[in-house]
Amino acid sequence: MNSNIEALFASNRGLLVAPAGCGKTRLIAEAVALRQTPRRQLVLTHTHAGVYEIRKHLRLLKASSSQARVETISGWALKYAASYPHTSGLLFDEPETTEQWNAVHEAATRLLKNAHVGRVVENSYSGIMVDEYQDCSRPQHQLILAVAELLPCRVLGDPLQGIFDFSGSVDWKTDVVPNFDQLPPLEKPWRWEQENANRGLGQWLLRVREQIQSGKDVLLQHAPAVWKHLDPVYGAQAQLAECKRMVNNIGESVVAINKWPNQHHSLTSRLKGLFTCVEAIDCPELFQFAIDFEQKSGPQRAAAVLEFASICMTKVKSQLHSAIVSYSSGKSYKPHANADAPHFAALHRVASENTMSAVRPALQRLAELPDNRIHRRELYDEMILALCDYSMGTHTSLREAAWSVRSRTRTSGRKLGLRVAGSTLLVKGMEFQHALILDADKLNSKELYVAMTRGTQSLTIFSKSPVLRPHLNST
Amino acid sequence: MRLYEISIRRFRGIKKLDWTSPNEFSCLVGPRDSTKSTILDAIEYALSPRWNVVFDDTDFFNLDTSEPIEVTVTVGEVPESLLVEEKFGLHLRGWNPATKKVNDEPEPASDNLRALSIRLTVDSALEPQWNVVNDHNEAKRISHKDRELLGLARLGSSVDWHLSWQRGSILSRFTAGNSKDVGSISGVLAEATRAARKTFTPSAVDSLNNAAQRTEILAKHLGVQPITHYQPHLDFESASVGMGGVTLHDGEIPLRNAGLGTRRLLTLALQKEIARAGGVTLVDEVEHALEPHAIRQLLTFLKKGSEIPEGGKGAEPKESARECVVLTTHSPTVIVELDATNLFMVRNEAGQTTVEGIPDELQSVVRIGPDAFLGKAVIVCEGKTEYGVCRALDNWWSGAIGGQSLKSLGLLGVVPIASVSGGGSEAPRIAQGFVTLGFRTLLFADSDEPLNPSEEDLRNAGGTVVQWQGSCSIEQRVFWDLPWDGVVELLTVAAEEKDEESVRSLVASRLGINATGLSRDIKNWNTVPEVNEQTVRDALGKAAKVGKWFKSIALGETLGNIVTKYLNVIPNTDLAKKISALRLWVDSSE
Repeated sequence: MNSNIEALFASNRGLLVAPAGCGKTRLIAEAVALRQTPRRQLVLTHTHAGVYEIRKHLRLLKASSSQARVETISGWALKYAASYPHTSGLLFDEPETTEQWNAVHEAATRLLKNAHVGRVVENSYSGIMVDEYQDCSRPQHQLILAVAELLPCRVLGDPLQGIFDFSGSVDWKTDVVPNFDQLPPLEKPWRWEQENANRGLGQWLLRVREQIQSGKDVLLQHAPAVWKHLDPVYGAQAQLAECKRMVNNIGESVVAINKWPNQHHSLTSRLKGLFTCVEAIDCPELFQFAIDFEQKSGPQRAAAVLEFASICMTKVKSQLHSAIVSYSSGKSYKPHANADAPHFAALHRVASENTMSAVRPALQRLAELPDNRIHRRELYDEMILALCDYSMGTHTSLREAAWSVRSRTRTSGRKLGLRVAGSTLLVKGMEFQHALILDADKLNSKELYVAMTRGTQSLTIFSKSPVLRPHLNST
Repeated sequence: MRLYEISIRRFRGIKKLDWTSPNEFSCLVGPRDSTKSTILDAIEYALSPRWNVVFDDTDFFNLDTSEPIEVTVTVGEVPESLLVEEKFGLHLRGWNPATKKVNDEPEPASDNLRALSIRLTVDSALEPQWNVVNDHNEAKRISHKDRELLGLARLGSSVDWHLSWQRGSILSRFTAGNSKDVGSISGVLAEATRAARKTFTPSAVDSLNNAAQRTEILAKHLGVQPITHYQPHLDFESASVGMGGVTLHDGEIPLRNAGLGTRRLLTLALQKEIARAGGVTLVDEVEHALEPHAIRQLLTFLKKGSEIPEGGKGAEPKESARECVVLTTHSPTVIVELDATNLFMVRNEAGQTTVEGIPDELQSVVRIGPDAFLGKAVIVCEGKTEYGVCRALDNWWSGAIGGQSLKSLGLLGVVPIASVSGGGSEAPRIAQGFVTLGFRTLLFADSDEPLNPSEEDLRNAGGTVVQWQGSCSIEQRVFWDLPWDGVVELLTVAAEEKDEESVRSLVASRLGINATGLSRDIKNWNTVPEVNEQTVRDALGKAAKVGKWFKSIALGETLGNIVTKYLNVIPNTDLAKKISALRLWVDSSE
């Protein structure tokens, strides 16, 4: 690793490309921990999960907090822009939309042009390092360039994992490469060199990378990956069977990857909670339902509760069909049989009482229905937490409580289940022992590369043919 | 360090003070109880690294704890380590030296400087809190360690403590620096104890021994057996000498016995030595216990802002960062030694406090009349004559020369000063200057030339003007109004001082007659043929002025003394009336 650290510090404006699993995060941590600089290094990344990862590595290396400051780019930008609103031109301090966040980064860039503030940055840090550079938006990239005028700057990333690719994201070829010195890329696929990992898989994935980068087909015959034929009729069943088989790897982490969100929602539902869903970072359904619960009342509220429960749990829709119909049309509901079952009583309370305090017990009773499984575990848990927080009285609305809960989760780290399902966007950067790509033909080059590099021990791919042609799918 | 702005709210005698742009070297001047020292205390508490400052209700203005005490000091040129992101880099403000204003965020222009506003707040719970404040960001606590970097030093306190090696004193800190010596110091002190015990020979004192022997006998009655024999001895506990018992001596004499001035100077030197370079130095009553040349030496020392060279005088002084000094004084020596730009008048009116620099027109006055700045009211005299007359009046009023027993000018804080230039044309401007500074001011002037600024201007500004009726000088007024006996006394004095011949010829020429036309005896000068007494008096008055018969302080005083002798018999004259008016004004100074 040491030669890599030297290489990293060889330039004051360096760009290091690192394929998936080649130890980029570890390199950043080691570069900070093992190299003494007069002041701290500023290490920026995109997500709180990323911050958590880097800090974890620093702790393992016994680095002291005086060696580095690890933050998200957005968080750091907001801190500066909001501290000097008049000079930066920032008009608000709680950004939510993409436009608002772009404005934050633009304001921070403007601010750094002020000599006094620039001096604060120069005196506070010896250098800046940015991880996952392929995920930067254009305003973020401009901000980093402004910092690079003040401090030695090193950026790391992988253009092949830049799957955000919306119009606002940075273009590797035209924006990034011309502004930095290219350093020799990392080469050793450490993720697959760990104990119990599949070394051969790692080596093969390096060759696959080259193929994907040059727009060639990816051949799955004679590969360390397992190819499964995706039959048009029986394919879905085969996918379910394969997922269930994975459960036999007791205590080992598994990820099942799909292209679209509703695909992994229905997958986890059909798997009856053996796999749970990875929710999006901003978890929009949490907020939609929080607003819904609060704004509706009476039977309508009970209907909303049931709707929420049915998307999170497997048996609600089927078992409580008549209740759903009744409450949705604004009528109260009395079941013919089993009238005093706890879940009916709880729902009745929601429909007849005006307080929000009836909602949580209703959800909990529903979760306890026989054979009912919570397959969108993260979503359900966050809602319960939000309802608890709200009942403490510190928030003025359930939506606000939900925002607070979600922020906490983002910063302190999410707890995912052992077996999860999600899209490439949701699982990028994460590492599992086994990866299942359920419909490889739909993925474009970058998505395919990210999906294939998630599993350390095994990779199973469902596709129509063992020859994948990701270059045909638009990005 | 630089002090850009100091704001105080509700601290002791100060309800509100906003002092913008003190100099690098500022001296606060003002009468007793004008809250000069309170300002210094406020600055000290706001910037001091002490975390155990104790406040009580008496520190609140009017003892009203319903609103908190606030002291906000905006500083510049602070150590860079305080201006990093994790400290106060996101709390910067700006200072524009041209407009002398604080900007909430630092302006980008290169001649705008960075500043931090540090605020001490004390609420009714009496807990002090120190924060860096501004309007663009949340307040951020500044720890006592951070405040330590500001380098605040209050000189001249705890005089005797620092001249000993008691724990925490400066001498003990010097000693601690040479830690390898600590062992040998303890050794020396232990030896001193042993030596003390050795030289104690109780056997020489019978009564001590007898008591010990008696005890031994009594002890045996109860079965207590001494191991050897009972005897009196110096106990280790009381004889042992610790570091705290070691104090600085001049030869054999402890400095404790030296005069306060010497001890103070030594302590000041020590405190300055350990003070962090480039900080803020505060000295209350810089002149305390010192004679004028020592005061001058001290001021030079403080102005240089440099450390005493290690080799003593003659060695090169070390370069140090820019320092800021704030003093208070009520000594005219200090006022005279300093530049007028370094002086600031402190005024307190029911809690509203102001600090003003000395206006240009008073800069020369500072040198010649420093006392005036230390009083409450000022009589600006047009010339030395008037000044001398004031002295005489003061003596007469307060009974020193068998007159009345009214309060003296000094007691009432009224200070007369004479204007510098001979012609006295500056006096009205000087009076105006004092009025602007908030002094009760009276202009005591001749009326033979127009005043600029005019009498009306001065009255409108709040000053008082006492001028003679008609258009005349003091000499003319006196020669007109005094009874003839008084006139004769004046002439006698003039003849003695100036020589009778010149006096005679001057008078004669004014009268347009030959010198021989005047009687040999001054008493008879009012009997010049074909000239009435009034004309003679006119001539005398004019001659007195032209001949400068009373143009000195001493002669003015003599003039005044003569006048006071006769005032009782001429109560309706302008002279008497104006003098009464003067006294009326003096009395309303209370």
